Amino acid sequence: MADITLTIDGVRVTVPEGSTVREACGQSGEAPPVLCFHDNLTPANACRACVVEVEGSRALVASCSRKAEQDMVVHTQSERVLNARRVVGELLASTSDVSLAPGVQDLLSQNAGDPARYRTGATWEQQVLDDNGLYVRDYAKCILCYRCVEACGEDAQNTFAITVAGRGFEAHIDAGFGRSMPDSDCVFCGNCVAVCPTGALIDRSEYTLRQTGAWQEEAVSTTETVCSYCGVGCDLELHVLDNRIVKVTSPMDHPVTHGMLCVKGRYAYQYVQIEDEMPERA
Amino acid sequence: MREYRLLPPESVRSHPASYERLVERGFERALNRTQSLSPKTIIQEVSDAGILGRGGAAFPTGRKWASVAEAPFRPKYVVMNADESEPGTFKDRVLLMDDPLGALTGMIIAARAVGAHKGYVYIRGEYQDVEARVAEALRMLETRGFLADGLTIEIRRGAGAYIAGEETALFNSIEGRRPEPRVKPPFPTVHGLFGKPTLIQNVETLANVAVLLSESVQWFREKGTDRTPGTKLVCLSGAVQNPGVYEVAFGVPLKEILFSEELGGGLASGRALRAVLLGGAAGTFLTPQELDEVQYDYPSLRSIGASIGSGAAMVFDDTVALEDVLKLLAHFFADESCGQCVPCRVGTRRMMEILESPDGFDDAERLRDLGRAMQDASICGLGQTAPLALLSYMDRPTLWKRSAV
Amino acid sequence: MRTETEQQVRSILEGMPRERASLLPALWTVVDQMGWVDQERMEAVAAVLNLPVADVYGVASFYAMLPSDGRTQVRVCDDVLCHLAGSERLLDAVRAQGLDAVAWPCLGRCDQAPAALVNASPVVRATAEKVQRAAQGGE
Repeated sequence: MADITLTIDGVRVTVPEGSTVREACGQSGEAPPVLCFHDNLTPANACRACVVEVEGSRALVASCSRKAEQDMVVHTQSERVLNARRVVGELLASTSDVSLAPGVQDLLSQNAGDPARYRTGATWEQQVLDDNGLYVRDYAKCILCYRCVEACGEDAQNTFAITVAGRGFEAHIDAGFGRSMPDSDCVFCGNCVAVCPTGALIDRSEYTLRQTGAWQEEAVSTTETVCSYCGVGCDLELHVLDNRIVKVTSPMDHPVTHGMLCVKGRYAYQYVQIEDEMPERA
Repeated sequence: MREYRLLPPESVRSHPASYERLVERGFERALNRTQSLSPKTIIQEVSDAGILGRGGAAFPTGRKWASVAEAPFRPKYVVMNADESEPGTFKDRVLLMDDPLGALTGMIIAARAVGAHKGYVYIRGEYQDVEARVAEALRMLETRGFLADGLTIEIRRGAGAYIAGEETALFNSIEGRRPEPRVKPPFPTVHGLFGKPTLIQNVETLANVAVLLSESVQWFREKGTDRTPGTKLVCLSGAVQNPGVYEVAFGVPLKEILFSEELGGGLASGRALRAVLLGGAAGTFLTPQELDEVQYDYPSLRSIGASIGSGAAMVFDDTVALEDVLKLLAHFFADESCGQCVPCRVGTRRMMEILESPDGFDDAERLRDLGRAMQDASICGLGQTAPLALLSYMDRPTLWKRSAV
Repeated sequence: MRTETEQQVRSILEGMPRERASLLPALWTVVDQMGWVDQERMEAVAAVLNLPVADVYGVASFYAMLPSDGRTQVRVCDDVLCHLAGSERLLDAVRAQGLDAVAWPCLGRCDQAPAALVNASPVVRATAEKVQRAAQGGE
């Protein structure tokens, strides 16, 4: 493939054709921040945290999806870019509970954002939805990044159980007519949970531990293994706290799973530790 | 001052959807003539006439056609955008009710020029009276065999979503997806409806094509200015004596549109002009002084940071507080944001809340930072232009309530 | 087992291509022929077009205009020009007559403000009486 040469913040950068502007930025310096972008999902272009200035473009450009072009001149630190990043962080913090969203917190702290500046009214505060035994939906934490919808749909699971519904400030994630997950088409693969960047979707085990104050991020260790259910050979990461499995994920860069699992691989791990609960044999 | 090209003069009495009308307006001549012209020649005429898109962006129509014609993929589509919904804008409604065959003729010619065999007319759901008129006109054209070369045209009804008028959102609507705008590039000319090369044009643009091809390039350029030839439909509303849609040649003094007897007819007696909101809800407030200085064409308006936009001119007299107008506009954009990107989804909401709060207009820095972030970082034109009227007001202290009295 | 509603919707949508692009025309066809489109009918549309239920809901919930019940739809334009022409008073007066009216974004009839829409019929230079007449005529 041919190479593309462009200028980023005054530095000439050469990247393979097909690279995004953000990838090119990463080569010469720091890649612009992202919230909705995920390596394994189609760019949603929704958060606008990654915008950069491209000479000749009236508006700023989402660097996560825009392809680098020959002789493009890109500015990643211009006043317009920094203002947009800061305001995006402030707007999200004015709407959602970003306490479990490190990406939004970084965006605020790196751009001197004031989380209270645009708290002028409506928020997404709402009831936690705890309608199934496997994961909890706390949409007060949602930033509408579209990742869960994409993972449930064409990008991974092809189940299409959830969608963005409504519009504008009232747009939200919905399983159709506000149905509970057990009443929806959900197959409980948990891939939506795996890609959620804000804790809006969270495994029930982790949620419960957090509620009781027993979750200690730094005390969680990870063990890699291979799923024992079928012959596909999915890599599993067992997250263990106090010698108990509290969460199962798969590495996002694993060539088989790309981070995606099925309901058994992700959630059917209780048999591993069931022995602990069995009465001692005579 | 008042022109009759796109709009039929009063002497035209035939039924708007009839074959008789097609003949009377010269559209049959345009259809027959273009049947014997090569697509290349048609596109050349459209380019030479200098028609600019009338939906708001003023992109050269001939260049757009050439781009779709040259795109290597098939099938190709042609779409008439009749999803008019911008506050202050109603020209496409009037044009399609009074003379639907013009825009349809332009569409049939466009399909031939770019090599499309399928067309869609997308009409907002609030215009079902217009839809019925267009359907009647389309049936007549079909019955009389004017849809040549296997061309089929389908009418699609919107369902109450301003953003569906954004061209890529409109494609998503036709495709049965949520009408959220797509990121551009790729542009519709290469990657449009169903991912195929698509020519999408505003109603008025297509009507221009029909009148051009029923006459000649030279005739077309007799009106308007050298850089902006032809005529423009203006939607005049608010504090003038005669609100309505008027056709004028590009380059007429803007003031004349408001005050000429055969056009706006001036303000009600005893009232003074406060401002004109030019271009639509996402337009620019002009002061009475600015109004005196400019002509109604793109270069002249650009010199004062304004644009023709959708053709709207909302006139406010001294009984109206522009702050109230700005609150209504903010409410409109908050209602109509699709919710896809953060600057628009949250930004339109916050702008509305700030303007509605007691001292909202005083915190200029907070408003400007928000307005600039929306302008710079929103995905589509809605979020990018939603703050424009506010910013234009903030730049013109003579329009502020506290400076009035 | 197909429900009665699904059979009804299936027969109404007979001949419509079973593809995603038919979704909005299908929803409108149900409204035009059955009066409104509620959850049960949307689920039927999803079944007929072979689309996920969530997707149909996601699309339909974007649009403001699809009626979910059979009441007369009165929409009073509340945008700039109509507002200045007294749309708030009009809305109150229409409601006082017992009609279930909602404020609506620009109806594109700013030259004849205030404007309203009764079901699909426009009422221009609207008064509560004109709206009432249109509502009665439409029933």
